Amino acid sequence: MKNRPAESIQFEEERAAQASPCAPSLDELARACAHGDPSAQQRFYETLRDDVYQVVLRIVGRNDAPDLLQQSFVQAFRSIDRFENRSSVRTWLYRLAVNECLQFLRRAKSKPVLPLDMEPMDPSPGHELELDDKELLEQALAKLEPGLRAAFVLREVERMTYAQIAAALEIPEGTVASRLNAARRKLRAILLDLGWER
Amino acid sequence: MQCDEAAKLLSAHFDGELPPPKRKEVQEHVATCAHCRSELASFQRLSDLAAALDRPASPNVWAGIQASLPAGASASSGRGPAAPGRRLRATLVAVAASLLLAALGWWGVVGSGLGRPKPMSAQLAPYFAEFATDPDRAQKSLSAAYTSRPITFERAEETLKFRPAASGALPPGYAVQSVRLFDMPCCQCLQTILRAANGETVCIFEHDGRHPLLPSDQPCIVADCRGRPTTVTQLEGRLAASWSNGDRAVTLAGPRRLEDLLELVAALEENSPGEAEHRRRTAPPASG
Repeated sequence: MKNRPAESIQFEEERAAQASPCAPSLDELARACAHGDPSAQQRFYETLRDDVYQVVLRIVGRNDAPDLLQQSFVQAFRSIDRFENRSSVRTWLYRLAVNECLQFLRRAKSKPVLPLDMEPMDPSPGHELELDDKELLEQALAKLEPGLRAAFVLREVERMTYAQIAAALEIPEGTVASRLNAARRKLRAILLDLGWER
Repeated sequence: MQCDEAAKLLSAHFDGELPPPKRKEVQEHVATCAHCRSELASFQRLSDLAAALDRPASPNVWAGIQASLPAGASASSGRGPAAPGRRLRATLVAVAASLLLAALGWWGVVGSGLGRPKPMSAQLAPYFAEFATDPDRAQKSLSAAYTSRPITFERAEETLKFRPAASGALPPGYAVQSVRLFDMPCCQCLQTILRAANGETVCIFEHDGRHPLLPSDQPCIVADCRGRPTTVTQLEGRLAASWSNGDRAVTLAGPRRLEDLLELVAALEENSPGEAEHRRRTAPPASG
């Protein structure tokens, strides 16, 4: 049984800085963005877009992920001058992105989230969709309520610590733990319903 | 430790977030509890699956982000008015930067880069690159980057004052799939998507002729298509063409064979006689 230590996004940023010592840090880029530097803004976007996209993709689904990616960065650039260094820049950006996603899902309550590669089931007899476990997980994630989905994605996809997740979701760390408990148990139940063999 | 207490701590234990004394208590409980061991095993399995999830590349939405921000600024343009002190400071910094650049004699060079949006060909390069391999995904990225709306050919003709190129007869095997009017930084751009009988997608852009859309750094040839010079270039195995029609430029991308491309170009030109002819055709009859 693995007992993985909590990984630190800060450690990843330090590793990245060591790999490219001349590259500006995220903090430096953020300060330049706050002054309206267009090249810093673009560099900030290029540095973080893939990671932010994985988060919004898993929370809102493929159809809406591009819009939410764009909205997240627009909100970031509009408010980056108010960033107060209480968390890392990356955590702060994830918080913005998750908030945008959750607000979006609240407004679109009745719309189901489309999992990444799932096409609508063909109702004709004899058509059976064989799914591998990854696809089952994507389907199950789409059925999870948004708050639990966000906690699971930030932990298992982005490998954030409980402190970082708490900052990103603006909840206490104890609530992070209980949401992850609930998310994992519900995902397991949904997966079993979908035919997952654990 | 009782099972219900251990159950509440299982995720934190699994993620290594428990302080050492609590971790030891949970470990001792798990060693004697098959139910909790089974739960931890399922957490591990979920974690392994999550680690194996695909990570699709993010679409490039930079153009849309730029278009949504005030020119040359990001801070102080958010949900509330900026503090006056911040605006003054930003103004002073901008003035100082201008004076410095002018003094160094770089204005003519740097001015072309700072604060002005990239040329349309650079902004649309990702679209054309993606279009060549995945037209549907390219279209989604384009729609995410720019505001657009569906429009009929009739309405487009009223708005843009020219007859859209795909509004008349098309070569056999082609059908119009969608027509949209895009608000690009340079101009309004009419996009028509055609679907060929063989499943291929063709996109047609009609736009202000001063803003070419195709990448200028790709090898190209100039073909004579019914007397009209047509620039033809290759995009990842597909062909693209652009030509001028008065003040309007038409850009077409998608066919794989040159003869199909030129057949389309000829048909589109036949349908869209240009603004002067449009004015002649739509002018009210002279009174006798």
